[in-house]
Amino acid sequence: MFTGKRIIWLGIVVAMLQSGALYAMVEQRASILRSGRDVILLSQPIDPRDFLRGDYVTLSYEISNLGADKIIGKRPDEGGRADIYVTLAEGADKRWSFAGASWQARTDLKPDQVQIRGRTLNYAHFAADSTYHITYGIERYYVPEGQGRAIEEQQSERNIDVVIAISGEGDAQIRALRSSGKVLYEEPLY
Amino acid sequence: MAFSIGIKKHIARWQEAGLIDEVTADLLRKDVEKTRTSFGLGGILAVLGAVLLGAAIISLVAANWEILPRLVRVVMIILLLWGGYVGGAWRASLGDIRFSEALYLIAAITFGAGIALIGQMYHLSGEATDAALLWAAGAMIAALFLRSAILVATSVAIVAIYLFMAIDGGNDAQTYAWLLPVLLVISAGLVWYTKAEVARHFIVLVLIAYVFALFDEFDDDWILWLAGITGGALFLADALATTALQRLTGWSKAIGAYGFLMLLLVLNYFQFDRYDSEVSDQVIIGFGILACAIAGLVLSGYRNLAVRWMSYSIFSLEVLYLAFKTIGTLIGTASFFLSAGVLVLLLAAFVVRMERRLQKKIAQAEGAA
Repeated sequence: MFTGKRIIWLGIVVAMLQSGALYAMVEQRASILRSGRDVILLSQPIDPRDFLRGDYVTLSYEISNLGADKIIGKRPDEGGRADIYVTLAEGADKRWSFAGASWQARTDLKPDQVQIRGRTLNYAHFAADSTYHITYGIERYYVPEGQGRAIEEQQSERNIDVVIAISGEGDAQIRALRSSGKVLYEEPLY
Repeated sequence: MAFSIGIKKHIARWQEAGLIDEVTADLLRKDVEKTRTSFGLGGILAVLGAVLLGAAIISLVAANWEILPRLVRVVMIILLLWGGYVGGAWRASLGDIRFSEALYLIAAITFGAGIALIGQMYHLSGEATDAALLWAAGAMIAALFLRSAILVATSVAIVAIYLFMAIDGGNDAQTYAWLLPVLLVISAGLVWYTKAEVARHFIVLVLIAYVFALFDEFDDDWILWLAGITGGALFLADALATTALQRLTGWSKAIGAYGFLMLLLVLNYFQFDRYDSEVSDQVIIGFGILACAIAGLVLSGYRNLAVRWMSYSIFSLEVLYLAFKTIGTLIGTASFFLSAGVLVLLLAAFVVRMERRLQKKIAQAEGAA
């Protein structure tokens, strides 16, 4: 334990470092909301019993499960989880859907396509010809205590659209939840 | 604190009985005063209060309370963070260790609450383990800068949370298998730097949990055998080369006791989980456990209290268990209680005899020293 006046400066330094880390987290997400490109994905109910775990709603998408045969490029050799890049294209109903997947980031995207980065959940090297479960960091929506039920009911009718902002690097961030064009929740920048 | 009150009573009694004169009594009282730890009941209560406040902050974040706009919540968290670290440093500059440690603890928990709050604000469904690692890193840096023992203990507790999340997620074995030892080595460095005492026990407990997590993940018996043998070696090091181990680590007794604990845990695991189908296998391992307990008593029971009581407990439980596993099934309920009574009385006689013998050995050891 230090004593004397110097310790107060050290306390200030620690407080600055930790608030800086928190600010960096905020800014990283806010910058995606600010400058990312918006896409709309239809969320799918997984199991109506399992939707509401505590105070968040679990969201799943068409691109959450991909067959290994749909993914191009060279599969990473090392074990553990692997990055995967999924290309999305806008459909006639304004919803975006799967248009290709690659183990490496693609540089030949058409202007009406967007690339989102995910990570495989099962070990990439184990499943050569099976289905990969992929997470994108947009699988949870936190709601105030007791408000999850409404979303859960809407979702069981299978019409919750999730508006997602995607940065140039492919990082995704939920912007809003909509149901038949009506906004349920919209996220401010901060 | 309780100890110093008790010993002061004894000093007064000795003085009254004429065993020591007033000068000696005064000297003894002053010595007790001087060596008394500065972290008594008041310090413990301060830490408990800080933990409770931290729990309140975390639950407030988890409740996702709508009345406060989230920007206000973030600002509150940041203010608490600053209040905790700078306020704690201010108390430390005045020499008030108790409240400075309590404030540091609140600040460190608040940092974790802040990470959770931002995860909630932006609906981050990503790795909970990453959040725990950021939290642990923050606490470790704070412990280093402020040279605070309680922040080291907090860091190790957060490392334990990380281990729990990694096991729970089920997808991170490849990462935590190497990352956890690294985090514990860093923690050990911080223990050395801050002279933290409680954190040392936390490190060993997390290490034991890690061994079993690793075993559960890779399902390889040699992980446990290795841990058990290492534990036995540490126990022997404390029993046979106390002076050297004490000089090297300053923590010889506890290292011996934890090594002994690891060895017993491994043997018990094998007895109950691996070889529980064949009674004869159980009996073989059971005798191994009994041998360990006796070795514990004979080799270091006279000077290592923790080893002594672990030996007594495991010896008694094992004898009872083996008795009922082998002959218990052959006899009726009444004779079961009869033999149980006889057995427990025999164990009691064994403990009493052993205690008498160990007291003699303690007296000899003190006489030699």
